[in-house]
Amino acid sequence: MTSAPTRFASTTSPARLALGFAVLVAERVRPGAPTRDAVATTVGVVGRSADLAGRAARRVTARPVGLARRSLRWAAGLPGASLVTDPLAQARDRLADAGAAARDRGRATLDSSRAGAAAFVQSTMDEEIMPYVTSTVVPRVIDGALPDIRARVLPVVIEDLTNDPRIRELVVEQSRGVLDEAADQLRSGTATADDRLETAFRRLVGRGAAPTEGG
Amino acid sequence: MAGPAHAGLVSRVAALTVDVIVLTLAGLAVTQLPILAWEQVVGTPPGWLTAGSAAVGALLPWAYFTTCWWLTGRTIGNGVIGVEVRTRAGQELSFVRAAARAAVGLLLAPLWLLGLVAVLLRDDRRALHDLVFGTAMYYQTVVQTHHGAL
Repeated sequence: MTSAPTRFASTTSPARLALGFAVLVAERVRPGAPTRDAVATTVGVVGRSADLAGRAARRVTARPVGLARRSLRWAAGLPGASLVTDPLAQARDRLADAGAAARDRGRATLDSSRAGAAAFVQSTMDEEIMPYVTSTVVPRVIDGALPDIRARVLPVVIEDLTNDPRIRELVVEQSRGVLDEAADQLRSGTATADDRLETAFRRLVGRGAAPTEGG
Repeated sequence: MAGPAHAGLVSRVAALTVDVIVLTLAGLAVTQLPILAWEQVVGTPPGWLTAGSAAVGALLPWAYFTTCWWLTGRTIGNGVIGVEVRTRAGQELSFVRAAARAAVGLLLAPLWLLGLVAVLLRDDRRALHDLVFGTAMYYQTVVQTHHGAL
């Protein structure tokens, strides 16, 4: 159980662990929200910043770009312009594909980082923290507390129990029950022995079977 | 057979054994303890104390059996084994009948024990002294419940 997480944790890079911890922390901070929301929030903030920067850049470059666009449209109408515009369209498609691939890869990285961080935490608890606590901390706590418990707590508990009428009644009832059961077994045993002895005796003297009175 | 089931020989002897143990301990206590106490506190016990203790010790078995059979129908041994002494009709013993039964049993103990053989021979499991005094020994209710045959 612990060997797999340990191997996983040892092969996980610090950067991926850090990312995984961030995902775990986000999940703990907002238990109901899925991981995707936390990441989406982060991505949204980054994206909005990029939009603002792009808007400012567009204001500055609007006129030169418009002039260039019109020039390009005019140039695109010229014969043989497709030799230039087609490669441009292909480049744009490739860029979109690359973006989608990067997004998928990022999601996979988030998932694996999260699993790696969880495994790291689990293996650390199982192999280091819990053994230390059970072998060192708990015995010291018990050794420290036991004399006090023996000297001060147990006498009070015992006194309370012995003075409790319900406990006394319970002990008396149990003792009585044991004695009654023993007496019943004794009586049953002697009654059975009565019949067996009588039967054996009558068989011995040839008087026939004895009537069964006791059992 | 109608009425309570009659106790057999094993139950009777077992009850008698318990009674002998009880009477032995009680007899030792009655005959020895007063003398020991007197010796510890005063010194040599007087004659009347020694004689009195011996007399009480001698009468103790008769008083024990008589009182137990008369008042409850059961001695301590009978109670442990779960049997009781009643008249043949199932009634409690009178004081006279209980006293006479106890006296004869103690004075003629060997005959009393020999008479127990009749328990094995008779269908109603009555011993010789039961025939003489019109008594019988029955299982108590708890034993009847366990064995079912009445």
